[in-house]
Amino acid sequence: MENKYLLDMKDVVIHYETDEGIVEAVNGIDIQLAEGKTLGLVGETGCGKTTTALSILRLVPDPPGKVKSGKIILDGVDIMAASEKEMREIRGNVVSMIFQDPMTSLNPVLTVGDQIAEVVAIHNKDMKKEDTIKRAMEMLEVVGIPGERHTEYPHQFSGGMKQRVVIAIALACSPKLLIADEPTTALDVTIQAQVLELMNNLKSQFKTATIMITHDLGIVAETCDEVAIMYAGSIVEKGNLEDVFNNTMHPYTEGLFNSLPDVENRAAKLKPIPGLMPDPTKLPKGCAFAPRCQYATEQCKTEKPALVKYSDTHYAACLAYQDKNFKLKGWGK
Amino acid sequence: MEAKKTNKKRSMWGDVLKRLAKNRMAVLGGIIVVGLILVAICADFICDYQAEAIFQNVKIRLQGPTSEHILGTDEFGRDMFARIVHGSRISLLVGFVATMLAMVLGLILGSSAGYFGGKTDMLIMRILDVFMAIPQLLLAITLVAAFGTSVGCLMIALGISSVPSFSRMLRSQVITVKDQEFIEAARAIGAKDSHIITTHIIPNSLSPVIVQVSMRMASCILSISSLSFIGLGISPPTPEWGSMLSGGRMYLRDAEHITMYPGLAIMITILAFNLLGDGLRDALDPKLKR
Repeated sequence: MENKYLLDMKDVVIHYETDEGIVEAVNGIDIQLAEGKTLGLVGETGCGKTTTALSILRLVPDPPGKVKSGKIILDGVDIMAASEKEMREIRGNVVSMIFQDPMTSLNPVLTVGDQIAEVVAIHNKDMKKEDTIKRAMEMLEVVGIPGERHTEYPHQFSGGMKQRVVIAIALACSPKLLIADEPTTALDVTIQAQVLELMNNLKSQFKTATIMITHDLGIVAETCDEVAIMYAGSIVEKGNLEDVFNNTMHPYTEGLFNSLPDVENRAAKLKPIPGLMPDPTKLPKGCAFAPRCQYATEQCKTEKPALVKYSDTHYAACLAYQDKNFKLKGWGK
Repeated sequence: MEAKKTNKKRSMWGDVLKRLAKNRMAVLGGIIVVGLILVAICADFICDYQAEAIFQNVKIRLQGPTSEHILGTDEFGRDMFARIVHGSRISLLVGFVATMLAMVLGLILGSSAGYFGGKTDMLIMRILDVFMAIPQLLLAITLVAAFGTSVGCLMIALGISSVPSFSRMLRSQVITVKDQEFIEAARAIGAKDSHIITTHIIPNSLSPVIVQVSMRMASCILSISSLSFIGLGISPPTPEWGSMLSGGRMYLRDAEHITMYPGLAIMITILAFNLLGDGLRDALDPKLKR
């Protein structure tokens, strides 16, 4: 059981304790990810995706962030119990992260080559300086940038190229797990496609498991094997692509699909989910989605739904399925 | 692959130098500073220390400028030009060492206070606040009075009294830099705190420090002269601009050149450092990039 998954998160709860109140950012998340697989973590802004990702690196800003409970096992190591020194060896080497905005995630006063060489040097202490630079040049070539540009500074690169450099840094030590936090949000559409294709190629080349954090279902469909839909700090539905896209179970997931523009009927109005996400400092007692849910009943307001297994791979957290005959109206209708 | 050598290496500092070169006043300041440094280094070749700056010849005291002594002679018949040239050594040396000392201490204290925050920050900043409460010159006078008036003590006294301003500035700079994403990214690749501070935080906080170094040099040189003027700095007969001023003030009526030339030397030096500092501030300000 222990070694079945590369990443095994169990019932992780993370709170931000501020003076204004406790922000319940992540409320009991379970994620299992096998080696080489890609998981899409989908949800709207502020639902706890990034916090979840940071907890894997144990980089949740503390204060105010506190991991209240739960267990995270990464590559056989208990992240919660590891020492700071062990964590430093894990970060960048076993797991690495691509941040949202390539414009700010590179140091403006160091050359890109030095920044790639930095990771290599940190994790290979006995490597010579020239060899780390050589490795940096190789990595640049891997992400499609001529190696001799390693002496240039980030401001000489375009946004898409900066994101390539960030990817090169993340993959320089061939980590087993790559966390990509909305890697394409800051890029324009044509560059997005290039970067995604690059990431897909590199994933298969390096056999890296990936957690793709995004709010773009299109990206999920293109890159992921499994999907977890998050809402207000909890996973409301998870399964493989087929499960979530074609046998959608949770009303929130359905709402997400409904919010996408319809390619066949361009004149059709978008159907956004009414209302806003609940304030994470005072989450409702029952299902967090109930106030916005068209199927909600009285029971939903008082009882918190648990994540229930519906098939080998498909899980959903919705009370409506206690009625065996319940079916969603289906998306696109 | 081979014809790609044309893309020029453009570093941030290269850009800064280019912008600095466009600012005429800063260039003027820079030229004067470089000239002063050269004069200080070559002082022994320009005029002999023992024979011209130290040897007293009462027969020719208080002479105005002549062809032999182009800036005249002082109250002991020493050549003013030689004394000013050799005086630049002390001023620049003490100013430089004191500023560097303040910068290094300020970098260490300010960056750790800003980076670690919390209790470390509290402790360091409150101690520095105590130093801040005492005027710089007064603090230097106290330290010199306590440890004696050697050149070394003067450097340490001026250095220590400049530490608080360096660390304050660096702390605020570090606080803005440490919240940027590349610091988080550095942590996410497993970098140690010390590594993050030295390779990511300090280089990104350095531009105001460079301006401050130039400005501090000016104020340190002024402080040395002030201390020497009241007899707490460099002791005679070592040529020093401040003590030359002090010696000449008795003869202000009939030999004004004894006070005028050292005064001009101090003024020009400080003006040059301040012009350079102002220019550097403009050149390093990213908002003024064109």
